[in-house]
Amino acid sequence: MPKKKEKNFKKEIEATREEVKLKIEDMKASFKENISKIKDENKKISSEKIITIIQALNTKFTGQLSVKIDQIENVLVGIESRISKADTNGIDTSLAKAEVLKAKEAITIARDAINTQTSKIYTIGAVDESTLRSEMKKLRDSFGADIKTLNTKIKAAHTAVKNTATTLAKVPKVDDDSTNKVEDNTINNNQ
Amino acid sequence: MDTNNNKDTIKKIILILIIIISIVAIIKIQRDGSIWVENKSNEQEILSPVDIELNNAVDKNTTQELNTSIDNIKIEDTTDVDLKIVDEELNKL
Repeated sequence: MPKKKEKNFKKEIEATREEVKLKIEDMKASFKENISKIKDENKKISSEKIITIIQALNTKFTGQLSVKIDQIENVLVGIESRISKADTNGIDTSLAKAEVLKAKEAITIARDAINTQTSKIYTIGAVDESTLRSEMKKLRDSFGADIKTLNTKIKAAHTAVKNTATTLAKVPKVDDDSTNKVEDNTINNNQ
Repeated sequence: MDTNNNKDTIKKIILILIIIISIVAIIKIQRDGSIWVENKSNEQEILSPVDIELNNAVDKNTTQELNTSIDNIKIEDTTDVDLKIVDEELNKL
């Protein structure tokens, strides 16, 4: 089930990336118009560079964080598997299960945030010589803040899974796979 | 005549020796090869349960392993470092 979710998420992200590629081309064209009042060619080039770099960084960060959230979710799958084995052995795992639900919610929030961030286009409105630098600075800061917020959400998912793993580890005999084996051997010996 | 006969005999002996050495060498190679194949198959027979055990160990996912796995996932915030390139361009404006 989580693998299916992971696949769906990847498809969703891929679709978003394709849409964004097209939007970036449109944005670059309109950006040229927005900086048309700037006479200094070097400033124009630098502004275009900034826009391109920010967009590339967005793709890089969202890609990296997608990988992280996949890894986090894979650990949660392992935890659920361990819980299931413990359940079979009659061990009470209710506390860990409650943490699993919280972790799943945190992962969903993180994935949604990644998707939203992936779809973002960073640009500015029409500017002149006097407002160019401040507007570009605002754009840079806005992007930086967005990525930091996204990072926080991924970290929250990480913490939630870590809490789940810690809670599960505290359950007595949770790693004890021998219970069933001993019973099996006893049954075999009695036969 | 005798010298010629002797030479022929020596040639025959050398030829026979070469043939014998070749046959021995072929047999040795074949035997070594078969031993190697035997070893390999034995090794596979021994390794297979080990692989299964390893797979089981991975599948077991003890809580300690799960905790290690989650601890190994590092989420580093490199935003400020990466934005330095943007800052350099900003300074040119």
